[in-house]
Amino acid sequence: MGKDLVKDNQFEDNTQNDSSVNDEDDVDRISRSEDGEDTSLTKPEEELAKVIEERDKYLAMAQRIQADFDNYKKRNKTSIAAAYNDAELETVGKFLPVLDNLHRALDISGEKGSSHAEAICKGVEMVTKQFTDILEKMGITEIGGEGEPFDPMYHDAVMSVEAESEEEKNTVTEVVLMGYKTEDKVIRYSMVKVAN
Amino acid sequence: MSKIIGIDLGTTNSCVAVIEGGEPIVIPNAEGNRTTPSVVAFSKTGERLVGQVAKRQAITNPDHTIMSIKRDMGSDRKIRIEDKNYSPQEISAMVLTKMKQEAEGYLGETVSQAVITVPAYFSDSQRQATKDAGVIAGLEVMRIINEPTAAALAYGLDKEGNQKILVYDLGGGTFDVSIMEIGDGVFEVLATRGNNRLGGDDFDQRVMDYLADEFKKTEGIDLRMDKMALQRLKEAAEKAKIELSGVLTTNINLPFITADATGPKHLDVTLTRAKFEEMTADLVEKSMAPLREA
Repeated sequence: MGKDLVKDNQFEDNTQNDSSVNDEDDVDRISRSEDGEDTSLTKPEEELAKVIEERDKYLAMAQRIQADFDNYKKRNKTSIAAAYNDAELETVGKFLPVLDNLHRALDISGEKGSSHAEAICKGVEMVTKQFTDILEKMGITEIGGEGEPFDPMYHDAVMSVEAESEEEKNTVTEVVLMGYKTEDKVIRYSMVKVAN
Repeated sequence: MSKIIGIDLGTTNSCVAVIEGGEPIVIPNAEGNRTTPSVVAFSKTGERLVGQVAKRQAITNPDHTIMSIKRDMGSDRKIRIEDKNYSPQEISAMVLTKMKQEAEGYLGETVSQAVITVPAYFSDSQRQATKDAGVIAGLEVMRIINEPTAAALAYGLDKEGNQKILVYDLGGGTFDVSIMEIGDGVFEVLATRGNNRLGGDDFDQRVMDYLADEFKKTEGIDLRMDKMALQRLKEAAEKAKIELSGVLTTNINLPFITADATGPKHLDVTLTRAKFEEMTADLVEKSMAPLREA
């Protein structure tokens, strides 16, 4: 009963100005409200206005997204080429401080002869560390592998030597040239001597 | 349908962003940086320079280079360049024009409307001056927003219901702290305090001093006397500071930093985050006073 009352109230609130509806019997009134207040209770003009408003809203939204997308596409076309170029230059930029330090090392070596060999050597050691630090920050690590099993996925065998023991067979005995890799890509295979 | 850009008109640097696909995107400038120095200069040939290029020539042209104009917004100070007077609004407008151009270059269309942020403590006349600067730059200023409000919006705090928040904004040269109340999409600044002579640069200076002191201890040479060395120290200090946000220890490696009769000298110092925090503790404490006041 309480439920019906609520429905009645809603019904009357929405149709205060419509006397013809009010004249109908109780059963009809309840069933009408159950059919859905929206369709039966608002005037068609209001309904239409609301739908038009919504349509305009969605149209504007669609147009905005389309415009965003068109711009995106336009930019995307040129941005791939530009990104490649930028990445290259950015990488070079990362290594320029190494070059600066090499110049400094050369300047000082030329200036003072070889009398400070130890200090210069220490400096060049630091420059080397600077270089490998940059590589490390870029996610690039060394492929060494001395004493490890030979793995053609990472190693390039350039020489075969006699194994000194059974265990040494098919292992790397010497890294001739250090290799480098990222997490999922080899930049350069390490050149190795393999025992057989 | 033209885009509305958002401009953070800062004391030392400015930044421009746009909403794209519902997300705010910071627009990089032509040099690829996300921020542009708020520096305006008039070159000896009468050319107007704004941004990084103005900053690069500042040291050789100090009389015709204007920095930190934001500090003068709302005042009737005039900046005299050659025989022409400029108001702070006009100078700021040059920075805004630059940001507008960067945005246009990125978007590939003209931009005529903007939202500009100002510090929460800005008075009505300072806000009006900022708005005027926008108009001079050919921008219809849709809204002037408080910086802490913009920060809160960027973090999506408007979608988290009613709450009280604290915004701690340590810029390059200024520091602001604000307490705000967010409710039903309305942002109210309850209190705001700051120190306009405290910023990230002070933290760099501390690291530089530490490095120079350490070097003096081991090598007996004061790097502060050597301009070239000082420049390298400055860059290394800033880099170390940034790195220490992500890692607990960093190595500052400056080979061939200087030389004396005994040969070349190298600076090789490892700095821990704990040490960094220790040497900047008083700076952080300095920021706490306004924070407690707020």
